[in-house]
Amino acid sequence: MRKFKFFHRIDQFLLRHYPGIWALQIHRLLPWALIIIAFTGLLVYAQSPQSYSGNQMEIFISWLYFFAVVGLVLWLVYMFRFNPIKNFGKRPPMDELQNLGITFMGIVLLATAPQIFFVARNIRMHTFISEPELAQNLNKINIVLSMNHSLETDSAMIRASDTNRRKYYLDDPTNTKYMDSVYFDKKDSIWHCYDLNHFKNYEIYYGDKENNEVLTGKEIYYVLQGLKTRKDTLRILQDFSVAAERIGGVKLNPETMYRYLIKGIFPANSIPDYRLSLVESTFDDYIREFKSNLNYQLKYFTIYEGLRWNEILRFILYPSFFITLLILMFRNMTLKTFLISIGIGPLLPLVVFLTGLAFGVHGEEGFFAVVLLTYIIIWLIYYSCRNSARFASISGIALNILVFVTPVIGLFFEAWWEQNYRHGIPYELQDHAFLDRVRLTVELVEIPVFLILLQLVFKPLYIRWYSMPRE
Amino acid sequence: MQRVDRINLKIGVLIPERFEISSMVQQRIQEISSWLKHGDYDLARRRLLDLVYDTDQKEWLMETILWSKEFQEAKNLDNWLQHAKEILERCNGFQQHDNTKKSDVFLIQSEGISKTYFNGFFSLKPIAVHLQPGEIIGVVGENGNGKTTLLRSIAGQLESGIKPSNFSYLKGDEFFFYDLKYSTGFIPQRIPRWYGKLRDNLHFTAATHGLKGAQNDLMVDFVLERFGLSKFANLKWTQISSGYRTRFEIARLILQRPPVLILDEPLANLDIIAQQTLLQDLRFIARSTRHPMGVLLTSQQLFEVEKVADRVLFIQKGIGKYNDTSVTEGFHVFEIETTASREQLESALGENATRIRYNGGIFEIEAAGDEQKCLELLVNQKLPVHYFRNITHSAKRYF
Repeated sequence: MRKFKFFHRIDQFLLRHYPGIWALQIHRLLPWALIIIAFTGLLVYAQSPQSYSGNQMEIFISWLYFFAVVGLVLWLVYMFRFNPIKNFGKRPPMDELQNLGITFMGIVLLATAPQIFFVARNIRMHTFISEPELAQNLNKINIVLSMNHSLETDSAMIRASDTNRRKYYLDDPTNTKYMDSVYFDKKDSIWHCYDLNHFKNYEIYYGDKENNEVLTGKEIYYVLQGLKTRKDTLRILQDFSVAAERIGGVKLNPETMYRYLIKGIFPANSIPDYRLSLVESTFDDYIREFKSNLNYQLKYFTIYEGLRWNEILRFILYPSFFITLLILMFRNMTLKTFLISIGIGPLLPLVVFLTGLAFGVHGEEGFFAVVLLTYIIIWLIYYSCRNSARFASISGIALNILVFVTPVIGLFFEAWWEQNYRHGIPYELQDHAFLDRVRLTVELVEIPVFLILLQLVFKPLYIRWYSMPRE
Repeated sequence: MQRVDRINLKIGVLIPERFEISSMVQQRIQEISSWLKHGDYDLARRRLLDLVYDTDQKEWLMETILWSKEFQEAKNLDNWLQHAKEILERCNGFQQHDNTKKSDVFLIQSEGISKTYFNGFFSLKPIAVHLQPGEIIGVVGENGNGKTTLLRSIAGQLESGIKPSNFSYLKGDEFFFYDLKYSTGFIPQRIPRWYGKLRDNLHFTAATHGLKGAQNDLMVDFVLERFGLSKFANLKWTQISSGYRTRFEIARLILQRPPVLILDEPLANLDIIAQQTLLQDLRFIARSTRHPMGVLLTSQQLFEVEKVADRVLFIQKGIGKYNDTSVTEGFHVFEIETTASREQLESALGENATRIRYNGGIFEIEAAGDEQKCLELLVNQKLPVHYFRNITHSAKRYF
């Protein structure tokens, strides 16, 4: 009861002192979201890694998504009940940025709740196994599997030419870097190991790259499901390491792999055929089956997902940011204009395409030019209609589109530049690390630029637009 | 009755002889004392709250609010009245600055507010609006003739060519319309729904208009108590009647302390007593010495509005005229409800009646003589008169 009084006091304090923050109702959302996230995180963290896979966990995550959506809807309902902007109240100098930040925080909280499964699992992995240790061993495993495929398919997909690099990766116990890609050229019998530690972005190029047979770090899944006991598990891992040495000439420690298994790095989704074949047939049969099913196996091979924090963050942050922008528009717009904007937004690519056709443009550069032209035209539409009550809806829609598009204009130009940079350079010779750095820099720069624009340009335009006579 | 008598005895103590009617404050104190003396406690309570509010003394106001709350539960009225006396005495010695006495100040000054809708189906011809602090302009007319259009135009809801220079209390920057809506209280005919507790809504409005912390609490308590809404404060919108919704909306606007208050048909949902009370309150609030307001209101309750309005604007087919503009010397206009026929009336009034018009069950008579003469003629002919009213200076004669 005392706790509820505490929350009530906070509520009333905000109501009387900070009505803008109170109207966002973040103080109602925050405790519940944190409790659910903490509870879910602990629950997942406490689970055995074996239970990370399977239908139950998927159902669990689905429910989390469901509750997050319900929470979002409830929050929006409460948030839209009070709006100092639409009440023509006093507007503190930084209120728009403050509202944007708080709304964004709330959306991120709700978006994080379903992702807490992955977050908890990664934290658990990091707790048990250090990244350098993991890097070394994963490199080994991936090379083995890639080589194995090369032998099996008799193709020349895995190229290698740099013995030193191979040595660097495989034989140096102090190496803690991750390979970006591994190629082995059967004809040359030389390793190519590209050290691109830039992004912790791990990929095995497996199969024909042209046919998109590429495994990425996102495909973190299951090799050895059904290995219930340590004895069984170690036996199969032992067999695997022997096979790996025979095929790839690389020694793998079964104990290390077992640790991966139990700590959740290989949250095993079983390939029960292997176990059965191992029990019922000879080791050679197993190896044969291992090879024949390598495609399938590799599809589910786990590469350490914990290396992809930034991708998880992007997955949460970008959708959250755009939902936040929608809420910002809604709070500054009439319902009618907001809904029309939402309806027209998806038509924008069509407008760009038709504009391109009208100008007869070709190629990527032409496309980028048309997008830029469309952006400028929308600005012109806004400025020509901004003083007219009759065309208030049009100026409102244009304003909304500008607010939605402006934050990604930087990335748009980066993509344009990247296309030019990549042109004519083979993929493996491109400096992916550099490109990633540029992209990240653009992402990081355009956020403060947009916030400044919001404060200095868009906020005054919204104030002006909403207070204009409507008829 | 016993209770009133008992109070009357006490009132003798309440009004010290040294109270001289030499200023607006003292006049109000005298009024309040008189109401208390005659048992009009509710009216006295409201006016005393107004009086103390005008002193701008927070502690006094807090004390008066508590005093007002005591009224509902007071078992011992002697103490309550004694407390009232103390408050009145304190106010008596307080020098108030009277902001209503600036006769040359106009809140709104426009020679011609006009509006034509996009589809052209209705056009409001230019209407001059000059509104001073403390002044009430009543806008009357039949439905669909432009009353709401005029009010919405002034409130900045319709594109009508109003300019920053028309409003003395506004700046002329690019946020003119936002400032106009921030500074002008407007109650539409259909009040938008409130969500959540009514009290929270009031706190919210007060806070968004710059009243923070303890001041916020004080002012919310004040308006709740002033409009008799305290017992409804923790209810929700759907739990109160439409009459109370209007009162809550007015209370909310008072928290914004707007220089101009615009009300579109505020009496529509109110019973007869509530209408009288509201109009009286508007009169009092508009003439606050601390925050005088100009008030524009529309209503179909013509006579009630005329009682409180300084001027009445009649709008017909988009053309407006004020009631003080076209009175013909020596002629009077009367409304008579009678079972007598037109011929009988003509016979009774003779040449005194220049025009007799039958309008909705009531005869409207233009006559050369005053009301005493007209009534005398009717009574002499023994014609039954159920209702008689002189509307010479009323906008009613334009209908």
